[in-house]
Amino acid sequence: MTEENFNPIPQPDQLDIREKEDAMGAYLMMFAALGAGLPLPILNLVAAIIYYYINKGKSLFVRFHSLQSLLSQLPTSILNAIAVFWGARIIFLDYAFTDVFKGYLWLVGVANLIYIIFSIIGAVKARKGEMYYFLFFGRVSYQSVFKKKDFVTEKIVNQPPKM
Amino acid sequence: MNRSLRDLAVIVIIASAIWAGFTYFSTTTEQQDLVSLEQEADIADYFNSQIFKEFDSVDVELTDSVMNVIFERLANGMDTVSYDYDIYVLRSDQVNAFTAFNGQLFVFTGLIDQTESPEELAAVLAHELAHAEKRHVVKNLVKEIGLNSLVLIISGGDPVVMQEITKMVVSSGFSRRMEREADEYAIQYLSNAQINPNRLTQFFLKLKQKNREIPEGLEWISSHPALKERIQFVTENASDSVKERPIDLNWEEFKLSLKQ
Repeated sequence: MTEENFNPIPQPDQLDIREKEDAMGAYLMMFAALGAGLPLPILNLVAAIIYYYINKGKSLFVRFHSLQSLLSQLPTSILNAIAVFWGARIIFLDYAFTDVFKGYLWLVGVANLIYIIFSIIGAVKARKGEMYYFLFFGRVSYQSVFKKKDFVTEKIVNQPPKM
Repeated sequence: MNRSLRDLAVIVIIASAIWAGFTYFSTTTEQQDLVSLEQEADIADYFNSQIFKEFDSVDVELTDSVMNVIFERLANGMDTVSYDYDIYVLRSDQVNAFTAFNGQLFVFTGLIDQTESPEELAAVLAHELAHAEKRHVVKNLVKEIGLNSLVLIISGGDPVVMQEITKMVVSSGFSRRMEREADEYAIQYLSNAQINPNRLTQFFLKLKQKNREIPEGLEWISSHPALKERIQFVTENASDSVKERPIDLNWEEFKLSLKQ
């Protein structure tokens, strides 16, 4: 993987304020969605996908932060959804409240806390026009957004119909 | 890409470690353990006086020998015997038996009248013993009224609240999971004690005929698993290979003596 395969990374002074705010919004929007999506964690995932597609056409900087925000909330959303369904089974179907579930709730709590902390850091950095890479999700988002697409279009040759 | 995979592995390992760590070091105390056996003995004293006020009990001398024979047989099959058990027979037409506190078991004459053999009563008692061994009554009470109220009752013994608790215990409002657990252990106790666990099914079938069943499809509304579900569970889990050793008691004579 060489540097030529990737688009250049924008520097803070090359970004206008609108881009910085859109990038910051990608992280902050998740909090609103997270609050609204608490009873059904799948909702904030839907909101994140919508936000990503709205900002897809904008600059690479905004796209990067939107994608990083979307990807990084996938694990917490899945963990939360499992916690809700598991908890519902315990409350309504009288399944056992086991130590495994208690341990799982701790994991969900820690995961959400880490997600919130990193999202705040991400939002602050984005507002300053900085690229900020989360563990794993940062690299995946960078590769997805900044990698040059090969536009090798085949020359179209019109043919008569098959007889 | 290798770096991404390495990062992903790090995240998965950390998450698994958090889950496993919190599961392993979960320091929660089971609710029923918050009530000590001594405290339970205190509650039992209050409770028994309440029960004997409400129900007429059959003379212990008449029932003790019979109940002891059945209990001794069951005790052989139990992996733990946590209490010094007492089994009382109460006069009532109700087809019911219930577990109270501190190993006090109560059986109504109406239930004994429905049984055809001592083994059948043993099956019912095995179920009640399982509730006691698993401390379901205390667990249930803590869940229903909260630990604080329970401690207050132990110290104060408010008669109105005690009456409510009595009602709750007599109606044996256990959760589906507790009933399932009690059935599971009853099968184990009975098999170990050389009593056919299907005696429990036999008794359930009788109850089914007697009680109006919950309409089909609405089983989940009930806090008790519907009888049908329990019959199915016991039938599926009870081994047919248990060679029953009859309990040596003249059952009809005992039943007659209760009517006098």
